[in-house]
Amino acid sequence: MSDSERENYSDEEIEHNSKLKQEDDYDEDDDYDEEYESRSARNMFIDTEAAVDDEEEEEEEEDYDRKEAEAAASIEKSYLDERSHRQLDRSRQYQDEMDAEELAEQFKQRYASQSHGFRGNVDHVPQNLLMPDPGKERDIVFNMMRKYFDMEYSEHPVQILSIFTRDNLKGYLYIESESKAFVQKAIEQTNNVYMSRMTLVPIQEMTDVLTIRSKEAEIKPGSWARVKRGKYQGDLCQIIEITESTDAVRVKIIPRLELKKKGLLDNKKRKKEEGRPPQKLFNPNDVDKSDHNLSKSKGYWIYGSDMFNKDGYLEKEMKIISLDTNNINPTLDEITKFTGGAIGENQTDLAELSITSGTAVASTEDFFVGEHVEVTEGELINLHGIVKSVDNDIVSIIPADSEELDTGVLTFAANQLRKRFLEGDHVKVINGKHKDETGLVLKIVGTIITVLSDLTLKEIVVFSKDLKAAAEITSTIATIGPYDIHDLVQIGYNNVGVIIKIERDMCKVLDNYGQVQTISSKNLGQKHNRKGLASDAYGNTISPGDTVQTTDSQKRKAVILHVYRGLAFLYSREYPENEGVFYEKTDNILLVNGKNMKDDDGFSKPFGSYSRKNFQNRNNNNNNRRNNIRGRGGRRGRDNLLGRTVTLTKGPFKGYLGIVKDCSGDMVRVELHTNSKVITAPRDEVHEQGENYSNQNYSHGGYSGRISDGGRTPMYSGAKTPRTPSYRYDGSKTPSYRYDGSTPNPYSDGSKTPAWDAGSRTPGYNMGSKTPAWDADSSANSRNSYGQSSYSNSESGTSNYAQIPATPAYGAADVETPYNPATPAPFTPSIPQTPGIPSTPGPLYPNTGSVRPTTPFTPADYTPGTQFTNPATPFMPTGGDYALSNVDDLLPTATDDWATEEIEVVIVPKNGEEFNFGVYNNQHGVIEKVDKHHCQVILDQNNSNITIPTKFLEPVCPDQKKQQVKVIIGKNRNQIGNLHSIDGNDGIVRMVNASDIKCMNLKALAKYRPKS
Amino acid sequence: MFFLKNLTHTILLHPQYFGPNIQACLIRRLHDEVEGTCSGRFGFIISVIEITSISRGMLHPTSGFAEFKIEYKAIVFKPFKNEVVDGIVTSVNKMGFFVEVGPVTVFVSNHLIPEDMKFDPNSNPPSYISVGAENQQRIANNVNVRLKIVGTRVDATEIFAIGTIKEDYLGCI
Repeated sequence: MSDSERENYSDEEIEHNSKLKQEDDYDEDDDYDEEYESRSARNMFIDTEAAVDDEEEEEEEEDYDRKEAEAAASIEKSYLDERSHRQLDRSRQYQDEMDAEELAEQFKQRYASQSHGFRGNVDHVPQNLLMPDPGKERDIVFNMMRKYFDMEYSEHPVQILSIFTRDNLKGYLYIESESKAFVQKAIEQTNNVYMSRMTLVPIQEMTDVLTIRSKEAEIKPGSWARVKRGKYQGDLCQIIEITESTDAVRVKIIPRLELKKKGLLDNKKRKKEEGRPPQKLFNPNDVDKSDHNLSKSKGYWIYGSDMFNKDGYLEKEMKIISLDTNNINPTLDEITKFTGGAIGENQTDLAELSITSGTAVASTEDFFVGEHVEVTEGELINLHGIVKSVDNDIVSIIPADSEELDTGVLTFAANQLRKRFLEGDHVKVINGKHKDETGLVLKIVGTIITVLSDLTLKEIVVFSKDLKAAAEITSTIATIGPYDIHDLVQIGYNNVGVIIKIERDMCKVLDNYGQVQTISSKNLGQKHNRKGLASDAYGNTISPGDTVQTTDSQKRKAVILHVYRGLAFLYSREYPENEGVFYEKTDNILLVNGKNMKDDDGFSKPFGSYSRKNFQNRNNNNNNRRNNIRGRGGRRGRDNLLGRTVTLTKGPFKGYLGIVKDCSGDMVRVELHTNSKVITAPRDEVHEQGENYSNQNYSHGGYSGRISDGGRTPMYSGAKTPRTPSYRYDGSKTPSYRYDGSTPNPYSDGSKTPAWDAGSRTPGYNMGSKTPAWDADSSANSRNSYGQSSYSNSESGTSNYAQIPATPAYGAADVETPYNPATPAPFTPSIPQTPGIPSTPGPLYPNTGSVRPTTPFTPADYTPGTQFTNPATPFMPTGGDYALSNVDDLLPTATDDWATEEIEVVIVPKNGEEFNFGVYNNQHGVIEKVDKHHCQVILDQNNSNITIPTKFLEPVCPDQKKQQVKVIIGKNRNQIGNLHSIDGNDGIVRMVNASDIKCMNLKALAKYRPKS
Repeated sequence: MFFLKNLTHTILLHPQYFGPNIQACLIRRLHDEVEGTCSGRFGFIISVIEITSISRGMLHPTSGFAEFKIEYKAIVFKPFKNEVVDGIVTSVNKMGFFVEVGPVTVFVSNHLIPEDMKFDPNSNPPSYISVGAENQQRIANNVNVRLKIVGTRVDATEIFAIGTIKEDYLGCI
């Protein structure tokens, strides 16, 4: 037959009119079927209907209820019945074993006649043989084939080209032929074929008919399968053998056995209540010995109708269609359970098992180009190669020793290869339960690899196909439950943190103290989704997504992830620590570019312009902001220099110490310590004693800010800054100057004042009339508003101020009176009223000049409750730093009140004087006793007890975590606590006998050394 | 393995240190900043032993900081696979034990401990004890061990290794 003819073929579809037994009942009654079959396989001639057994009961539960009474009565009988049956059965089996050959002979005889009945060319067959059975299609096909060959050279050859059947299409035959007539002729006189309908298969469907849809995994003994239905649904089973009929297999499965212990009735009831029994290996000892259902034969336990092997597995026959043989992927756990042992002990067996059963066999998806692999079977076994390419089922590899083995590219099926790892390799799990974990290979047994996880330092056991060589340690997963990487989450009561790394159920979080904690996802608090706004060092509004640069010497450029109170969490790829996430106070960052970009003077800012200023530290920035306000709002309160100890820096009295007695304009009157003489000096020629940089700037800045309105350059603010050479250079460019330059307009306009009150959150405010300075202040306000008692004062102070648009202060600002003795009304009460002023940041901004922390408010004036240490202040480390930076100069040593017992002190010279000619200078000791202005100190050096004037002593601040500390000033004076951590100038202290944690300035703390 | 490496380091020096002792200051800074650090490439820098050269300082126009490039020789330590090292046991648990080999922490898993050494959870401190041997070995905290490095994991800032004592001449020393 030529090819051209062949193209004309037609497919005929013939309905094969077999009265197929419907499989419906199978669905309903799966277990029963299997049950029935397995039993009949064993004792086919024995009627066991009367036997009451486990499985049947399950199926006949409804029936049973009806017949309960009856059944109960016949239990005894049926037991006996069954026993006799079983005895017979056993004797029969015994016989079977004895003479298998004889039996075979018997069978041969018995079925010899039947096999003749299926000959295709038998002309006449008794009608009863034509009764079709399901699945005869296959026989028909074979018959037709035989017929074709028989008739090939006869007069009437069978003129068909092909015939086939689909297993899943019962009752249909497909015949390929050139005409309908040929087909009819061909199927004439063929057994089992009762043609009812013959149709031509449409061309489009022809390919479908021949397409094998899913590639069925080949079932072979040892492979795994899962039960589709019934009691064992989803359970893993192992195929032991395939029966001759090829539609059933014998499987090994872990039984889910309901043991009868209390007799039938109880059992019945219990079963109704419970779900399916758990998987448990059969143990004959669990069964009541008097239970007649239990018997033993050929090394099997037979219980009820089930056969258990000596290890306790259930072995039963199941139909292949009731098993799922594709994509089984048994987990290592399941296999472990199946092998019934701890994985460590029989790992070798397990490896073998997993290989033979196909579990650990890799598929092409598992291989990646460049990976090292090993050949596992064939003549090139153990060849080490590198994957060159992967297509479909073929993996091409180049042998690793390609110089020696000049083989070129070799191709293998995926299941002939396995990934090659060496002990100590760094790998990553790419599939399964441990997905995305990384670790070092500890041990390799076949395809089973033990890995030491990097994160948990625990061992995990995985198949080599689920591993991949990994360079990185990090995981790629970016979500953990509801959380994403870089989310801001609540940690505990008042901390927040940014997730910097996620690894399975743990994640690393950078909290707002700069510490990295490893927290499990369960312990993460709520997510902060609010998009915070803040202002940077120059008052530009910054929000998440903006690019900023830090003002410290590193000038790190980063993107804002979150703004949380005064903190900005930043992310920069270039920064290796903490996965590139770090945080910075918003005052320490500068907007580089972003939608809110605006310069101080309202013009768009070229990039370089800020860099000239960015060396200024945040104290400067704070000052500038304060200065502004004062510049605008006029002078309120008393001069901050008043009453302070200063050193003269110029003139005939250069170097002399004195106390500022009076301030007016730019002159101060200083009473010298030496001879009580009062001299007048320009304000810029005095230097505050014991003052740090920030304070000095602060006062001078304030001064200059005010002056600048009057036309004077604010250079003074820089003149005294010892550490910033570039600051002086900045000269007229000091931000305060700019601020002032830009502020008068909005401010002198009375109608705009409500904006002050509006705070930083009013959108209109942000968009429109905002001046950077305002923004800065309003953000300061918003910081204060994080409700806590000590700040409420300042809050009210500010808002008062805001709500009275026509306060004298504004007038003052407008006319630019540099020093307005009439302080604005809202503030005057606040000075005496709020004991917290020295430490509360709020008033400090508007009131710069008036409320200096080191003005002669002696520590005694720092009434309790207003200390910078507020226990419940969530924002302390951030916004609170304003306060703290000012508390720095709240030197506890200004008076002798700090002295208390059992703290470590150091002996220092004071004001040029030295105790005992400096013999004891810098020696440490512990205060034994305090006596007004003297202390008894036990020196560390020689344990000598000396009395020293308190002024020569300084408390030793704690410098390490976990030290015991004693509070030396403030509300909590004399309390003892443990220092948890140190954050800049703050110490985080847990008080003894108190559960809360307090945040305190380190200067308020001293090392506690109890008398032993 | 220890190496003598020529390395460079850049120091940004604050103007407050500009003065007669600038050299000393730079050297001190170098020691502070470099010694004890770990780079994935060179390993741990154990000690600076010689300063080869210090470049002229370059002022940063905006900050006033001066930038110095210092070339120096330092002893670096980098653990390699298959290297045999000595260390001190720092902690022992049933998974294995940790050994400090200088700055590197090495984990010896119980898979890589000879079969005859068993973890004895009842001992105090917990230890691995060889059973049946005549000269009984005992691995507990602060014991010196010799081990072979099986694999290393090199981070940007840390090196971690796993080791084995399941070979001849390894174990307690």
